[in-house]
Parts: sequence; structure tokens; C-alpha cells
Amino acid sequence: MSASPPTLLEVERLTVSICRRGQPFHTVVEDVSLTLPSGEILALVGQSGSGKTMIGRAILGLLPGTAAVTSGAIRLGGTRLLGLPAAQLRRIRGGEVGMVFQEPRVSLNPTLRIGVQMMEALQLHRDMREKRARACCLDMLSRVGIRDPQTSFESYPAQFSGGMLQRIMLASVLATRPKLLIADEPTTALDAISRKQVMDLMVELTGEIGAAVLLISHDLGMVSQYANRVTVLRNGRVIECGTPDAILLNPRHEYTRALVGALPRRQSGNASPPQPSGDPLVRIHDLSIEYGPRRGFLSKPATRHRAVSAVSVEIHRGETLAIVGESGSGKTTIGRVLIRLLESTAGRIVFDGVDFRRFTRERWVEFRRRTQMVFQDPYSSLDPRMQLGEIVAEGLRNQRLSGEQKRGRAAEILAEVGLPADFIRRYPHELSGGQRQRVCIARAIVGEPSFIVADEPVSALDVTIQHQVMQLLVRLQAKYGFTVLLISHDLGVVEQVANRVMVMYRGHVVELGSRDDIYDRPCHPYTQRLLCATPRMAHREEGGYALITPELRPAEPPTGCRWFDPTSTPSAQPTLVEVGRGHWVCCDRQEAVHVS
Amino acid sequence: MTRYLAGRLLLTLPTLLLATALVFFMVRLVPGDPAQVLLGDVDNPAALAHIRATLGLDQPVWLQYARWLGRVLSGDLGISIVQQRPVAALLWSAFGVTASLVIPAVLVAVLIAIPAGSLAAWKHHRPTDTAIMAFATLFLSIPSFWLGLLFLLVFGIELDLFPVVGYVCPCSDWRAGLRYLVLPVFSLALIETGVLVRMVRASTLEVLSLEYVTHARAKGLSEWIVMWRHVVRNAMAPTWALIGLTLGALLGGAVVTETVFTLPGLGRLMVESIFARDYPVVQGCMLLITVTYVAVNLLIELTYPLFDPGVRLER
Amino acid sequence: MSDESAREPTRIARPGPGAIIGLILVAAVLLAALTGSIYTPFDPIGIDADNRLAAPSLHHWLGTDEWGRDITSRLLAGATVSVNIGLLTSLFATTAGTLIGAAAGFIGGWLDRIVIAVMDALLAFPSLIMALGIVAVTNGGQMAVVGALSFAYVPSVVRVVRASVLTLRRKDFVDASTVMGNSRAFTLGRHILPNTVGMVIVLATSLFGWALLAESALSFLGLGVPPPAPSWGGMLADSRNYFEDAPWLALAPGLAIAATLLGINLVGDALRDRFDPRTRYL
Repeated sequence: MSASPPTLLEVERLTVSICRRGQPFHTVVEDVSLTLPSGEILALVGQSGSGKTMIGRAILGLLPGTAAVTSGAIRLGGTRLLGLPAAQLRRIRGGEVGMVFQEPRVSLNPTLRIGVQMMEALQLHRDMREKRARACCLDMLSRVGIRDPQTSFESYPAQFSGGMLQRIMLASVLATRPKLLIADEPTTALDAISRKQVMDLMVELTGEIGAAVLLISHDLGMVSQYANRVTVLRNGRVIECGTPDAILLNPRHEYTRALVGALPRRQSGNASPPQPSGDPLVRIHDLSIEYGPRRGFLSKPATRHRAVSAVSVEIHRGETLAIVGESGSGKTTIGRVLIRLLESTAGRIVFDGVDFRRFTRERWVEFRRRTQMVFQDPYSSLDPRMQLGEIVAEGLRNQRLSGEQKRGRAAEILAEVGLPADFIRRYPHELSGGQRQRVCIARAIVGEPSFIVADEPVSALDVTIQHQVMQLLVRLQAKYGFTVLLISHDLGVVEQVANRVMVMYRGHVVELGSRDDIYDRPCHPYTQRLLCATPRMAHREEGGYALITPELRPAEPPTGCRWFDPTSTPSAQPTLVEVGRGHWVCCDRQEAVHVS
Repeated sequence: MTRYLAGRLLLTLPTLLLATALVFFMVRLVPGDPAQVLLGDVDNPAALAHIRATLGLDQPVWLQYARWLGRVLSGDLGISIVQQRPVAALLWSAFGVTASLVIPAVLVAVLIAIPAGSLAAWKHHRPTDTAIMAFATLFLSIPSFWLGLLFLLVFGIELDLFPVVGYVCPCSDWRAGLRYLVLPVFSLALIETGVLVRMVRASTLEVLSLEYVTHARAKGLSEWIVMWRHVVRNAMAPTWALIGLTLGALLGGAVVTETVFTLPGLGRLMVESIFARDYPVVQGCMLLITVTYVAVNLLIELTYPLFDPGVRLER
Repeated sequence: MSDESAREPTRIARPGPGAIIGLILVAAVLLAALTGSIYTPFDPIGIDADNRLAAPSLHHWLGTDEWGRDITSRLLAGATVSVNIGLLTSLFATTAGTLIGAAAGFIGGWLDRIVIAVMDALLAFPSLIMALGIVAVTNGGQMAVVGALSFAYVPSVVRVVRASVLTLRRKDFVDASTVMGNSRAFTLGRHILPNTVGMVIVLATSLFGWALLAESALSFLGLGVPPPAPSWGGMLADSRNYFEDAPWLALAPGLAIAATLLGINLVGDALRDRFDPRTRYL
């Protein structure tokens, strides 16, 4: 082994507390020590409340409001950072240490042009004239893959997507060639595919300029692919530290084990979907959904947005169908139309044998009783003024039960989702995100529905909690036998639970098949890209698990057509072609084709 | 950009129409024959018939409104019952007085409030903040007419520094004019300053808590640059809108201040006309004040993109 | 079982010193108003020609005015009038405004468009000017003042309530109510309106303050409560003629108005903090 690189960053027994009236009140980081050698990547992994963000901020002296370092030391290349006079600290910020934040949209001033903001740090720390700074920035912009650097330089942040903004942030921060990059959840706000691109780019760039990276994230799976060492934090303390392999394969602490256990992995035994027995519960035929102003007063008529285009699928009783896609794919819109929160524009929806359009009033009442929804945001899905017992009992409103009976049933259901009995009188604001989501589920199942639409039910939760809530859903489904339409952008979450998976992109169905078909034999290039962006734990032949990402293996489309590309010309004719039993892929047909 | 401007202009039109309609119909609420109401306490059958014809009372109401609007737009606002002069002439001279009161008041309020509010936000939770907020709350609780009276009492009568009654237009003699304006302007402005300081502070605090401020600091920029380039500019956008609303409050408050200091402005004209039942003048005052208010707010909306370029991109 | 510990039931932050001062001031004013309606040391409108413009003394705590009327008694009686008008205006404007705003925000469509158009037109008038206009075309009196002020303030209430309802409509728990099969009316009454209560209370408090101030201004101008009924604004107007002889005439009523407004503002601020989810908890 070559000589180990010199230590760049050293944190020694750091303690950070929230102070009230000068006295420490609540400790958010306790006795944390870590070392980061020059040029390497150290990941700080933890869930909410672990204090990982605070550590990053403390290094730059950017702790929010009432938080302060109460003991410990931080050294950057030998210089003590704590207690450094403000002027010197400012020189280090941006010049030697750069920081990238989670949400690029709010990290940039919306009223200033990109170029101005990019040049600020350069002009300050590298003492460049405007002309040279400008050239340097343009160079960095093209380096990070922005197609038209000149125009982008003069544009405002609102004109870019999240992924592009994050790349611009990277360009901006790394333009000064700092020695250390602190990346605080840099990809959490991005889509799966952008996530991988931005991470790859970050690692590449920092490698080029020889910068070390302190990577802060909650996503153990993602950081394990890039980091040299991983430190696991919980409630402000260091739990465990080691190389990614060591952490993943031999977690020592039980919390680390829980974290690793929550990583997406194939459940054995959930493979084959139940045989479709009888009629499908829900049938969608050529469904299209558009929205936007119909006749705007001042707007052009062509501002209608096509969220979903000609989708057809059947959902069988008792199964779990997952719709997977990134934002803008139309998956949420389909869910909302099926639960009748939105109207479709064209196509047919048949529920339990009867077309929506032929529903009588009684049928609608029954429909509402038999269908329910679990929402994404646990913070807005519960009425803040109602007690939990009332919230759950409202699901029984249309049934003829006495108040006493309803309360009893509500208590039962709350117990069933794992909440203690006295929670009946609690209010939503007293609960954590995971607990609220359980209440949401309780409300959904209390009326014993036959069909539940779960719209991103766990994406707002911590990873271990995600795991628990999904297990709860599986258990309840086994007990009550309802059908589930699971909408998610996270392929990892879906793998545990789904029988069949439908992949959507920009309003079109791109691929549809059983869980194994999609994960093991993906055909469409988009599906493959999605899978590549989602590392999963899989069995190794030698035993044990390893975090793998599948390689891109371009599959051959059936003769006579190309894979459908939704970004292509409108003259394309997307059609679903069966490439295996129950496995359909979207093709752009030039001529009629039969696959034997 | 032009689409934004045009859109904003178009949207103001219905508001103006409805507001002027309201003024038109308000006078109709007075019990009695509308023509007699407009003529006053005079018994002159010929004049009565003339007014009836002008109003077109036999025609449908909306047509009467349209005719009235037409006359207004061409400058004919009727004749004052009391003074037997065209209302428009009366309004014009009074408008100048009110403007010379309200515009400096807005300026004073803004020039004090913006630095004070920003400072309070910057020194959040520290004694400076508490002190500034205490003053602001105190000021906005004082009725402006009482403050005016106190100023009169102290500076005008006891100390004899400023004149107590009357008005000289600064356009003819700006030194004398200024002396007549100092007390009224300050008694009007200080109240609004209290309101504005709180709003500026709130909006600055909100901006300070935003991520891009932390990011700017992370780049190593000095506090001064952070405050100026990133905070104040962005906090100014909502403040700019508030200035429009402030004007509305000041236009109302000016009515009372003009009475306290006996300034011959629109407000005082309106009050006196109400007492005298001089409805054409009352109507004219309401119309002019409202149109001015709407116009200024429109101007503010149109210049909003200067502070927040994102607004016009949103369309 | 979840491994997250349930949070402690969070405590609601206690009111600060400003709020306490405000409460005391408002309570004092309300008490004065109540007292003034049943008892005053002297007859507030009784003329006593021998005692005109007396300075404050033990007999007349705040002195007498130009008609010999005891200032303290007039202050108390004036409190009754002002508080009456303030409370009534706040009640009417809040009720009407909430109903209209909630309907417009929830039902949407053409109703919403009409409401906005009308409210925008009404808001084109500074509120005092609007009140003056209405007073101009009516015969005057307490109820006319209440009516004029209520009308002037309804648009502000409508705007705020409508905005709040629009925000609430987008929350998931409203969708959840629809998915459960509740009618729109039920969702409005059970889920949306209760969540606007906090904001409405803050608004009603502010309205009380504005109405009180506006009534004083109107009375000062001579267009509010008609004499000889005492009102603070009217007392201030009368004091103008006697600045040199009896400066205290201008102090008492003005101080009363200012103290009341200060109290209402402080209480309003505290209420706003209480209901804002960001500052509600410790």
C-alpha cells in the first residue's frame, strides 16, 4: 500500500447544542470525532435527528440561530477552525472549503442571474478580474454538462430544472478549486436518474481537482457506492465507522444492522403474482388525462398539459400493482383519477364490472366506501384540529354504527397499526412522520375497503421507518385481502411489495410486467436506466448480500419496431407489445408485428 | 414583458369600472329626488329640469351611469352646490395640497422604516430589535389626529416654532410652504412608519432564514455584501407592494390631518361637503382619491419586476 | 412496533410580557366601557355652568370641559360608545366576511370570480373614505357608523379568509375527506372552517382596533356619534378650542384611545404568535 494521504479535516469530540438564554438546552451532536484524509470521500450517514447536517455547518461556522459548539475542536489542514476570527473564517469559506446544499432551488438567489452568483466566490477568493472569472465559469458550466453555457450564464435560477441547478451549484462551488467539499444531501431532492448523474459528476470533478469530500446523506445505499469510509450517526453520536463493505456485510451495532436491513432487497417468496381469478377489479382502457386552463382569458388555448396518454391496464383482485416513474410521469395523476379526485379526459375506467360513466348515485356512495387512499405527505394528510380517534372514526361515518362502536373500532385499528391505546386522544402534531403515516393507513383500512391507492406512502419518511411502514402494509393486505395500487418513484421500496410493476415515463406506459420480469429482465432502455440508478442488496453466490447495480444490457426490440421514446416526434405510434407472458413493452411501430 | 404589463393593465379596468359605478350609485342612496339632491336646497324649477335632462332619469340605470362616466372622462364632474363652481376646478386645487402632504409622508415613512426594519431583523432577538419594535408598536397605536394635536400644542403653540393654521403652497414659496407642512407630514408619517417597520422586519426576517443567504455566507462573502445584495433586495419586493397599501392608509389619514391643521386639501373638502350636503363635490372627491389609489398601486405592480424578475417569468 | 419514541405532548408557549400588558390594557378598557354603561361619577351630558374648564382635582379627577361636564365621566361613557361600535363592527364584518370568503374560496368558479371583482373594487377605496361616503348618504347615528365601518372592512376579511381557504383546500386531509365520501358542505364545515378559526380570531381582534380608531376619527370630524353623546374623538375635537386655557382636555381622550389601541395591538400580536404553527410551540 502506498503511504496514506495526509489528514485534511479532523474533528475531535465535537459537541453542538441548541442554547436558550445562553445555556445549552438540547444536544444535537455529542462527542463526535472523525478524520478525513486529503482527496478521499467520507460519508456521514444518519436519519433525521442524527446531527449530520449540524456537523457540516459547524465546520464552516454556519450553525443556525440558537445552535452553538459547546466543546471539541475542528482542524482543517492543521488550522483550528473554531474560534477563528471572522475575517479568516470567511477566507476559508468558499476558498478552501466549498459547500453544496440539498435543495438547489432555494440555495440560489432567485432575483440574481446565475452568472453573477457564480462569479461572486471566484472574484472574492481568487482575486480574478471579471473577464477571467467569466471565462472560468463558462468553462465549468460546460464541464458539468450544461449545453449552452452562454445563455445559462445570463439566466435566472427559475429557468432550470432541479438536476441542472445542482450541477450549476457544483460548477459554482468547485470553480474555486477548494480542498474540501461538504455536500449536504446533494441529491435528495432529485429524481433517481439525475441523482446518479450528479453523484458521478461530483466524484469525477472532485477527483480531478484533488478535493476531499464530506458526503452527508441518509441514503446508505447511495453513499456506499462512492465513499471510501462511512460513519453512521444516530441521535448525535457516532455509532459505527468503517469501509462500505464492512458496514454493509458486517454491521456490528444493532442500529447499523437495522439500517442495512432496511436497504431494498428481494424478498424471497413474493415472486409470482396470484393468478388472476375472475374479473379484474379495475380496468383502464385508453385513459388520457389532460389539465390546464380550458378557455383562459389571456392565455393561448394550447396550454393544456397532457399528463397521461392512452394508458390501458388491468388490476386484479388481491394483487399489488406498482406504478413507478419519476416526477412528470403521470403516475400520481392516474392514482387520483382512479380514486375520482380528478376527471379523466378520454378513455374508460371500469370498476368491478361497471363503467364509471354508468355509475348511479348509490354506486358512487358504495365506491367511496370500497376505495381509499393513503397520501404522501404525513404533515398535511391529517386534520390538525382533530384527535386521532376522531380522524380514524371518520372513515366509518357512512356506516350504521353507534358512536361507541365507532370509537371501539378506531381503537382496535390504531392498535393494529402499532400505536398505543392512549393515542386516541392525541393530536397529529404530537406524532412523528412515521406514526402519522400509520394513522393515515389506519384511517384507510378502518372501513375495510377493497381497493387502496397508496400515493408515495413512504417517501417522506426515514429509511428504517419506510421499511416498517411497508411491512405493515404487506401484513394488513395479507390479513384483509384488499387490492393495492402503489405509486412510487423509488424502485427499491416497490421491489419488496409489488406483484406487478408498471413503468411510466412522461405519461406513457413504457413497460409492464411481473416484479421479476421488470427487475431481472428489463427490456426498455428507460427501465434499465431507472434500475441502474437504484442500487439494491442482492444475494451473492458466495453467500451474504452485496450492494449491486445492474449493468445496462441493451435488449433487442422485437423485429420491425424501435423502443418507444416519448421525447420523440409526435408522429410516433406507441403500442404495447408482449415480449413474454404478461410482460409488455412499449414499441414505436412502423408496421404490424407479431412476436412468436 | 409587454404581455405582463398589458395583462396587469387590463385587469385593473373592471376594478375601476366597478368602483366608479359604486360612487355613482352611492349618491342615489340619498332619500329623495336625485335631481333635487344634486341641486341642493334651492327652489329653481328651470335648473331642476336642466339637471333632470342631464341625468337622463327616465332612462335605464346603466345608461345613466354610462352617460355620467362619459361626462367624468371629459372632465365634467358637475357643479358644486355650495360654491356654484365646477367641481373639477375645486378638486384640482385641493389635490395639489393633499399631494404635497401625502407624498412627503410616504417618503418620510419609507426612509425611516426600511433601515429601521432591516436593522431590527439583522439584530434579531437582541436589545436593538426589541427597542425598535417597541417604538414601532407604540407609534402605530397613536391616533394620527391626536399626534397632530399634540404637535400643534407643543411645537406650534407652546414653542411657537411652526404655524398652526393655514397653508402656503411650496410651489410659490417653498420655504414658507415647508414650514406649514412639517408638522402635518410628520404627524401623518410617524404612524405609518410604525406599521411599515414591522412589515419590513418581518419580510427581512423571512428572507434571512432562506437557504440562499446561508449559501452566500458559505461562499465567504462579507456580512455587508450578504445583507445588501442578497437580503435587502429580496426583502424589498414585498415591501414595494406594501408601499402601495400604505398610500391607501395615508389617503384616509390625510382627511383627518388636514382637518387638524386646517389644510385646504381633498380630505377637508370632502368633509366640509358632507356637512353641506354638497353631493357633487363629495362624489368628485371620492372619485379622485380612489382613482389615484388604484393608479399608484398599478404603477407599483408594473415596476415590481424590477425587484423580482421572477415574477414576469411566472406568467 | 415502531422504535421512534412518541414525542412528549408539546407545550404551547406561554404569553410574553407584551401580551400581558396588552391584556391588562384591553381588560381595563372593557371594564371602563362596562362601568360607563351603568354608572359614572357625574352625569356625562349634564351641563354645570359654574364649573367650566376646571383643572384636575380631587373632586373632578380629570377636570371638566367647556360645559362643566366631568371629564372622567365622559371618558367612561365614551368608552361604552367606542367599545360598542368597535365590537359590533368587528362582529358584523368578521361574520359576513368569513361567510363570503369561505364560500368564494371553497366553491370557486364563477362565484369566486364575482366575489373577487367586487371585493377588489371595494378595496380600491381607502377604508376611511369609504366610511365617509356611506356616512354622507345616511342620516348618521351609531348604527350608521357601525354599518359604514363594517361595509368598509368586509373586503379585507374576505380576502384573508379566502386566501386561507384556498391554501387549506390543497391540503391532503381535504382530499381525504372527499375520498371518504363526505359531501362538500361537510368537508367545508368539518375540516376547513375549524382550521381558519385561529386566523379569524386574530382578524377580529385587529378589526376591533381599526373600528375603534375609525370611529374616533369620524367623531373627531363630527361625522360619527352625534352630540351630546360623549365619544373620545368628539372630546378631542372639542378640546381644540381651549388649548391655551385647558390643555388637559386634549390629553385624556387621546391617551385613552392610544392606550386602547396599544393594548389591542399587543394582544393581536400575541394571538398571531399563538396561532402561527411556527411560533406556537416552545
